[in-house]
Amino acid sequence: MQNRIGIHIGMSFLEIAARVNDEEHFRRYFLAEISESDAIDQFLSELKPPADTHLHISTKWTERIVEKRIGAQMAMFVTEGFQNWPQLRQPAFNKRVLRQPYRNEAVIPSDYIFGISERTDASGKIDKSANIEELEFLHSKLQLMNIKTISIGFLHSHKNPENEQQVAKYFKELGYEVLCSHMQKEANEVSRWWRSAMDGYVYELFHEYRANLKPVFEKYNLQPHYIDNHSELFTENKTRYFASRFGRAASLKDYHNESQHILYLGLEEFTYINPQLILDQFESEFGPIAVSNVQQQKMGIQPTQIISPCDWKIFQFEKRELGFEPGPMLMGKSVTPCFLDLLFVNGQMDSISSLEKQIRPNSKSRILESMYTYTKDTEFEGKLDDLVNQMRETAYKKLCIQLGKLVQSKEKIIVSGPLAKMMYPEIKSKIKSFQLELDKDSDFIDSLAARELGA
Amino acid sequence: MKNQYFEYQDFFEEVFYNCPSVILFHHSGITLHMEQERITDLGTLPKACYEIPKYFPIDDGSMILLNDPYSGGGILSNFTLLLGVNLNKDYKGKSAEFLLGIKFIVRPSLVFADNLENEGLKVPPTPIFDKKNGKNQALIEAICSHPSSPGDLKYHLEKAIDEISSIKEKLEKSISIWQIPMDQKSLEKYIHHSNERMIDFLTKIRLAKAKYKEQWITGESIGLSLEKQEKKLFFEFFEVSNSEKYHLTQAAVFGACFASVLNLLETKIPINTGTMDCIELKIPKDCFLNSTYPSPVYLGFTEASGLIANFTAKVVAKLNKEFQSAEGNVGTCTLDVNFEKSNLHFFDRLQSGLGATAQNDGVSAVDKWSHDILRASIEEIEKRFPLHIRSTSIRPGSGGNGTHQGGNGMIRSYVFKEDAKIKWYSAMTGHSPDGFMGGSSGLGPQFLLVRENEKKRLDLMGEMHVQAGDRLDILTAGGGGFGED
Repeated sequence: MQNRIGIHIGMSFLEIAARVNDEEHFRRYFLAEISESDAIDQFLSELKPPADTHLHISTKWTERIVEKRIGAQMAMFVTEGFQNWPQLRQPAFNKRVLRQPYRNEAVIPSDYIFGISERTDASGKIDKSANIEELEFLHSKLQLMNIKTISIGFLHSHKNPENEQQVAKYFKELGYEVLCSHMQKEANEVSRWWRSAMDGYVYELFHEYRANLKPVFEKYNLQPHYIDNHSELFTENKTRYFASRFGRAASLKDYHNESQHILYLGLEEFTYINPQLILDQFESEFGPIAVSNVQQQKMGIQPTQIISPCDWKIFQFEKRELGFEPGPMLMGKSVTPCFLDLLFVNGQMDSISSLEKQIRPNSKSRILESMYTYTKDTEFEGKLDDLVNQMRETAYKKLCIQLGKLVQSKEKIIVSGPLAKMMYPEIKSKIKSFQLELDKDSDFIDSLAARELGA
Repeated sequence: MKNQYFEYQDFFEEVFYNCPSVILFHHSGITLHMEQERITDLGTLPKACYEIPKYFPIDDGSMILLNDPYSGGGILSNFTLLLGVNLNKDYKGKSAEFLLGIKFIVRPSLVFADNLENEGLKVPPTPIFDKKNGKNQALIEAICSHPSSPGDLKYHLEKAIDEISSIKEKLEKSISIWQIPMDQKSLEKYIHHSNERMIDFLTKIRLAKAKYKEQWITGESIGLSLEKQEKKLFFEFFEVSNSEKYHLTQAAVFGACFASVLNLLETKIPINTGTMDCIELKIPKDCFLNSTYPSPVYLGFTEASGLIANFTAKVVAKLNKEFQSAEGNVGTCTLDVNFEKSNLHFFDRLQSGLGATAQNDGVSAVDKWSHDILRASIEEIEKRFPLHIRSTSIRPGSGGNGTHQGGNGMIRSYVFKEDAKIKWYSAMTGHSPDGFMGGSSGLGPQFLLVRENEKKRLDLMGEMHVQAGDRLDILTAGGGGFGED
């Protein structure tokens, strides 16, 4: 059998699944305690893989960059008169009546979006080409702003990319990183522009993350291959960096033959994946982004979703998530309880591989003390256990209802991910009309799916 | 474990998450849960559920279609579909135990008419489906082929039938997962609890009474006396004039008043009879807030409902100063274009800026009172219609100055590539959105027609023929600023 290593780099955890000389090895690292490169180095130094080992990597680097807003300081060129269009097209959060509805902060501030005097009509005919003098002026402006990455989105460029190509050529020759929107042939300007913007936004840091790992792989003569949205492998291709955001779901789809729905219950996220449905665009917080992706939906309950007291109904699951910095109370740092803390109080978190070091056994009393305040002046006063059970029960029910809305009765759902074994019995007891099956490889499924890609 | 009263809120929110305007109604007259896209739905959907079964027994599986605003509908392009649902096996009543209702929009268009009958096809409550005979295809065909029927009604109706059936299926599935009792007694307990919680919330409103009167530039006058009573907020409208343009039903006004209260609350509260019962309305007869058939409703429901919600929010804010804000969400602009030669119809609605508050700047170009619908792609518009969009941008400087800046409006510039008949409208109560506490006013809306290099400012409402090559610039209003700059 081929020697293979799969690595999944998440937001806070890195997991590795290796099969070398017919022996299986699995490991999970907590990235708050060890860097990505040190974790991989540590694992490989023990494993000593032969140089012909296949090495596949799925990452959440793109999500990390966008969520933390740490991407490139970049400029976006659009057709003149439409500089505000990306912002105006961003969804406003006003589903319920709010005193001030809001839009999320964009990755490119409006001051960095420039209009270029050019126009192509709906049939693809060029009405106006870009003017070199205008580009020269923009170049001097970008130099002052110290900007080196540009995304270009012109109207109807998918019908005729000539104007985009002309402007791209000019700036590429001056040494800029340029990402064009016309590559996305089927999408309209809104999702096309965001795609080129995202390609540009994540490029620099993605490249840096990759470069940080390169010496480790060179040390062991390994050639890393990253997984993209089509579960294809790439080594270096900047237009696939953003698309790699969907690499994990794509490899899970391949691993669990395409006919099964997947409920992924990981340490960092709970997601539903529908391997049968490939979407042309991804609905992001900024609006649609043109990128082919396996349909996946973040569940309404998440592992580190904050639970807070609520005047109206005693407690609520907030939209905010704690993440793992500082992490759930069970890790001893945070003062805010979250869903994982509910599982921990119930004694369910002990069996999670590689988390033994992070869990502080004495945090149970802290969690209960903080929840005690929820019970004051309610019918749960003095009945803390009942309240904790009620919270956990509500979370499971919400999760199951969401799943029930996504999957038709009698369809097959495979439950996978590091928390699957623990949560499966509870879910199974609530959803009786589905064919629910526990994934036997659930604990290290992300790295395993990456490892087995193309096997 | 015993089900808790508060579980119902979590349950209903989960079931109806991401649904369009939807209602679940118990036959005893209780609204159990609602999600709304437009504020008028808050009043009209419960009214439809309450009134219609009085005339039509709705069995389990039966569907009723309507758009008549005087029977619980809204504007005539906004249809309501009701479905009878039994959720308890042991229920033995003649008509369905629950009603599930949704709203769906068919081909929005700007309508100026002096009579409801001239606003389009009015569909009174009409049974279109029953369990025994299935779909009443002949009746559906007759409605859809009526000369005033919007061309794509049949398509949207089919889609709505699928959607409401799918919501019903999800509701049933969710009940079995959550194991939540749906018997009348348990549901009444939940509603009672919601009512108690809402009363608690109202105690946070400090002052007891507020009274305010406004005269709008369009000629309407409106007065509101608001009183915080022990268990409710009592809205008593007075000195309300009639209006040539605006006509609302009591149900629509209720929606606007309820929305202005929701606007105060930081917590998401359930919309049900328990919470709605804390709002009581008294509206004089024979005024534009209490219209009767055959008054036209289009401008009343689409434009004036937002103006009423702004007005009532202003009066509600008088009870608690921290809720005060500068004026905004006025001067939204609507354009309707009929390309007669190519038989194409184009509709566009551009949002205005919101007023600033003591805590925040106003948001630019967003609708506060109806759920934001993502604007159509420029490329799609130019591909489908003989239109060239020259620009779409934020209208700089249109938000008033202040400690907190008013939100900006937006500008869109259209060049017609074919002769067309256009209609446009923008609703304002004053000349410009007022600033507050020393903040300056936002800029009012403008419609500018450019023909052969000559620019002409149009009224805020009108219709005309445009020629190929003409340009129309629409500038929506900004919001007022808050506090001295």
